[in-house]
Amino acid sequence: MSYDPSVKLIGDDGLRADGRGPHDLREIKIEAGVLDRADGSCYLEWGENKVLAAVYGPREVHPRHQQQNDRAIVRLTYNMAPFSVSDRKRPGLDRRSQEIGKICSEALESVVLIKPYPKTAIDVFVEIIEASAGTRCAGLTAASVALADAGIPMTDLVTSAAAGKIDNKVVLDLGKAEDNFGQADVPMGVVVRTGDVVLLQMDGDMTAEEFAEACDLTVNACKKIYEIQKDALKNRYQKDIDRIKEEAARKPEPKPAVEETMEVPEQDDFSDTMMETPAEEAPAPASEAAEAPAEEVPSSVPEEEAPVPASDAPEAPAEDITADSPKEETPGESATTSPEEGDPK
Amino acid sequence: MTTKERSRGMRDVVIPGQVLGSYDPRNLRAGFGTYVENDTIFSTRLGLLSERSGYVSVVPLGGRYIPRMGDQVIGMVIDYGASMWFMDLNGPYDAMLHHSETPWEVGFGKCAQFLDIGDLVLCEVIEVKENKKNQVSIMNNPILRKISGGDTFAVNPAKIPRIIGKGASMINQVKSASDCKIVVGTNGRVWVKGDSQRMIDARKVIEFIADNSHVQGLTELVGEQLQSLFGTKGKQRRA
Repeated sequence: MSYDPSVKLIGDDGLRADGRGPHDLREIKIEAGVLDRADGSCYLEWGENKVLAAVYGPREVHPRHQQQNDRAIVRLTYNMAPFSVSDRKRPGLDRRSQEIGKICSEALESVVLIKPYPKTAIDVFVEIIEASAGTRCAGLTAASVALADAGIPMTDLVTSAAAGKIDNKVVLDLGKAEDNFGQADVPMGVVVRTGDVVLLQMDGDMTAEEFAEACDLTVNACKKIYEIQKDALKNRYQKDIDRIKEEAARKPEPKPAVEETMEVPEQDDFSDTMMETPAEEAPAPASEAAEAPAEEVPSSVPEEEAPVPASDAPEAPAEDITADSPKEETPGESATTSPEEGDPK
Repeated sequence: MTTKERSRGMRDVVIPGQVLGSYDPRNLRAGFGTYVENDTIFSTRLGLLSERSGYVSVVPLGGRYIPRMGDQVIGMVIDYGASMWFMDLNGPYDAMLHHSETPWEVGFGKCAQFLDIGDLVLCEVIEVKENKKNQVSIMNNPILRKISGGDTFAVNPAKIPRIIGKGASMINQVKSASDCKIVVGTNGRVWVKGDSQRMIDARKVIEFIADNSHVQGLTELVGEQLQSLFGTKGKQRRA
């Protein structure tokens, strides 16, 4: 941030260089589950920023000395692609990316339930494909969606945005020029439901009043971003469910070959009317209840405080998605081979 | 979501931090994948909402395998000592197989003669400790054994219940249509053995089930796929 009073960032009409008002966010698009190899992933576009986040784990910790015997560790690696900025960035870790990795992992560690997975690491990789100011906010927002997509238990999602000061005015979500020639930049990570601040930095100078205003602006903006995160996660699966329903609804009488069924292009927009289509399979709830084993009942439920639930610790049985009781019959039923194969050499 | 919708088999996708209801020890309690704060139940995971017998819980749609006692899993030998083997269970935690938990008479230091590194073993988790020093066994159950030949691949462990199906109906359908031997481990490893082309096709079907496990009416789609690959829909034998 190199403040230059000669650069005018807010026009006479009160709009900023890119046409936004002082309290407007750039356009944000989030898609969850974009990578097959990762346990969870997310692609995010925030204005001109393009960010890809991938999550692996919980998995073994290497190097071993980082291992914690009572909890999991969350490690975030922030990396900018050499082509992400206008001058080529020298590839690899530098002081800045280490700092961002550290603060973002700490922000995420405050929402991830790390107690049920001792001795493991949850690795998050944030790759900045294109950068245009506010990449740490974009990276953290994407990382928390990717974590949820990876099935990591968390108390909530982390949402992040920045406010700053340009031309002596507090504005939301600084763009590239505003970041370079403005007076201050305050990125924040927020847990929207509780209002917890899990990341807070400031570059530049602000008065206490301006800082309070910037915080309010950011927290309000995070509420909007949170909705986008939520939609991205729900769409990840809902879009498949809707697609199959739509398929079933418009299926012609002679059934199409299965290959066709599978290769139908994914639709982005689904009319709500599809929800009215009856599902093909309707398991009777009564029989579900009858078949549900009593073992699903967790041993204890935390009464009040405990953000780390007791119900999560003794991993209650993974129940079947079709709501039956799979545990006992698992490979016992499926094993048909003769035992002689098990004989050693 | 209304009761009517739920009875049609539709389930809500919930995300971490979503409110699932208010905690009431008499009516609504917190089940798997949830936590309670200020008498409100929240979800901890991305998954499908399930409310049954007074418990609200979340069926996860992803996540790694965490061993639980009694699970029958396919482990891979990654190391051995003088009297035990170390197994990779397709998750963050390994397990130990002691020679006394095998039906063989293993001489001291002769472990490699029975199971070598890379061998796959269908075994049962018999001990899960707090410090995650787990133990598996291949004793006392004739189906627990070393497995050889065939094709082993891994799918997401969260999808395993769907692959097996209600009363093992889904996997039996694949087995009878493909005419392959199939073993599904709770840890997400699946072993298929049979005619080479049929083996490849059976794997395709199982991966299809895993990819579409959250879809209602999957049985029908799987039937269609079996029909096109094997010329038969297979029989749904239920246990």
